[in-house]
Amino acid sequence: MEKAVLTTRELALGYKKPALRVASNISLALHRGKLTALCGANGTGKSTLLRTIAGLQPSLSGIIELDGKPLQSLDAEARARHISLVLTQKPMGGLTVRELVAIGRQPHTNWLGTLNDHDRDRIAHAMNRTGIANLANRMCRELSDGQLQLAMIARALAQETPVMLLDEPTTHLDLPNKFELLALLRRLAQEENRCVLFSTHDIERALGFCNDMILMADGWACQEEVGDMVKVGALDKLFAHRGVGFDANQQKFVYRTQVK
Amino acid sequence: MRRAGSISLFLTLATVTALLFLTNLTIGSVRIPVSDVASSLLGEGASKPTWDYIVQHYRLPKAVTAVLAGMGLSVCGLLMQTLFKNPLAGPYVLGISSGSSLGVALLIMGSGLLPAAVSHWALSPYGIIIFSCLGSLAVLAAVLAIAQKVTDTASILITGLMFSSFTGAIVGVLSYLTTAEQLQKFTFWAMGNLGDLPWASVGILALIVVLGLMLAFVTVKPLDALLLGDTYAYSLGVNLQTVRRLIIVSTALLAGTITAFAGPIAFVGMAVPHMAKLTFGAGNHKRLFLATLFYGAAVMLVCDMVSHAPGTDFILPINAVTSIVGAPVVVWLVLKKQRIS
Repeated sequence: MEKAVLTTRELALGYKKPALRVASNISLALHRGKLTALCGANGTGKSTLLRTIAGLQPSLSGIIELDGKPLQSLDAEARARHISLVLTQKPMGGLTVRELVAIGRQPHTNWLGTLNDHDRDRIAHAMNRTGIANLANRMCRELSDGQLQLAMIARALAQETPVMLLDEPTTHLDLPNKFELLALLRRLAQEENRCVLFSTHDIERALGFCNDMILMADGWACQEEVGDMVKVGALDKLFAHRGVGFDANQQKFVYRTQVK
Repeated sequence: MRRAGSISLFLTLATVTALLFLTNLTIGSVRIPVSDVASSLLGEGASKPTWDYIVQHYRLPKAVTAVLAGMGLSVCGLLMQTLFKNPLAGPYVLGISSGSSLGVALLIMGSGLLPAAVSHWALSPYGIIIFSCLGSLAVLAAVLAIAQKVTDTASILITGLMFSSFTGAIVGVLSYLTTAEQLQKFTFWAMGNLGDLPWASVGILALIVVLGLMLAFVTVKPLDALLLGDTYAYSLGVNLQTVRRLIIVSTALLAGTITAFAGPIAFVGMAVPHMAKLTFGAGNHKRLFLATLFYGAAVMLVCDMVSHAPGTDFILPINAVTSIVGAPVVVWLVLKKQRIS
């Protein structure tokens, strides 16, 4: 198998002040061409894991490696050429969609941010892949939540990084949009050969689209292929203490404390 | 925005600014025919030697000061609006100019307490620049520190307003304790005045404004990324600490120096970037920076012409004129905030 782009070894997440250990002993390997879902209940540290991998906050201990190099050894620009982010935060108004996507080229442009033909080509490509080319001249503030999410993904795509991290990209989307977004992420991972990791509460829907799954609960995290995750019953145990189990036949979560 | 469209817009803007500059030179309380202004500028000499003196040693330095002040304050506003993610930010609204006032008030009114030799040096243009910049730097740092904790638009503006009241109150206390002569000196300074600067002072102003603008220009690329928020900017490789410091130093230098020479000038810094954003779009700071320079110069030249109230002998304080024009702009922006922010 191809070498992993991003690996973590015995990673511990949390905060130093006040001292809070969110999760520890996390060992992951993310590969190109694969879509990985990051699942777990609220407060289990999904966002903290994404923030730590993105270099937004330091880890408590352990190692994060990008292409075999420690994350801390990369300077800001080198890191920006390796990892792109899609968050739930909205941009300031007054930007057109094309300008928004163009900002994604920043790690590749000179000190003035001048775009060359290659940059313009990548911007057009990113907008085509996400299906927003027809919105290029629209203002971001005029877009629906779904369209804005696509524009933010196009921006990350234009950044041309091997690793793409998304924080709850399907939240606030209606049902068809959720499916379309998951299908898009799958295509981006496979056809653009990226390593795509996204956090989500839509576990059932994610099952049908992702290759790998990372589950987080009670201070630990594990990574498996989706099929194996279902087989070993990990999903069934995930919310068991809250009375929620996973029915492998129906591929659905069920509430077991229901009155029968 | 298409490239060709941008270029023709810039050419129009540059032409209008140049025409305003020339028109500005023909307006003043002494009526001088346009042909005499032209011949004086070309070095051929006007028909009267006094006209020559007025054009070359009063009107020309005043017009140059207007251009420098307009450009510098407007660029300050542009940088602060993106840094604070707030369409109403500007050197005056956030209390930066009040900080300068406080610095200068402490200097002018406190100078009586100093030994004569020191106070003579302190009241020189250099002393005023240094205290004005220190005052603006202190307030800017304080507002920025508060902006890290509270992020919503209204709170930051109220903080700026409180800084203005606070510095205003201290200036009030100082003026109560000071001599009439020093109070008068400060009051004239506080009304704002683009004229009365000898060429040597205009030279110092130009040097520092150009330096400040160059520092500010270095931030155009990270400013684009900051439109997406701090986290995105970081993920795009922007060194937030460095960019923040660059913006603070350049705006304090610009606002502080301009305020030191021309007095506090309200609203120009806040309103002009919006004119640039409305015509050139808000998404590209390289384009916005250039547009803001031209608009800033043009607006300040117009305000200066209005302050000379053509046809009368009055000269209104420049700060009054910019406030009369600027205050309604703020109200309009608040009403349109949904569209602009």
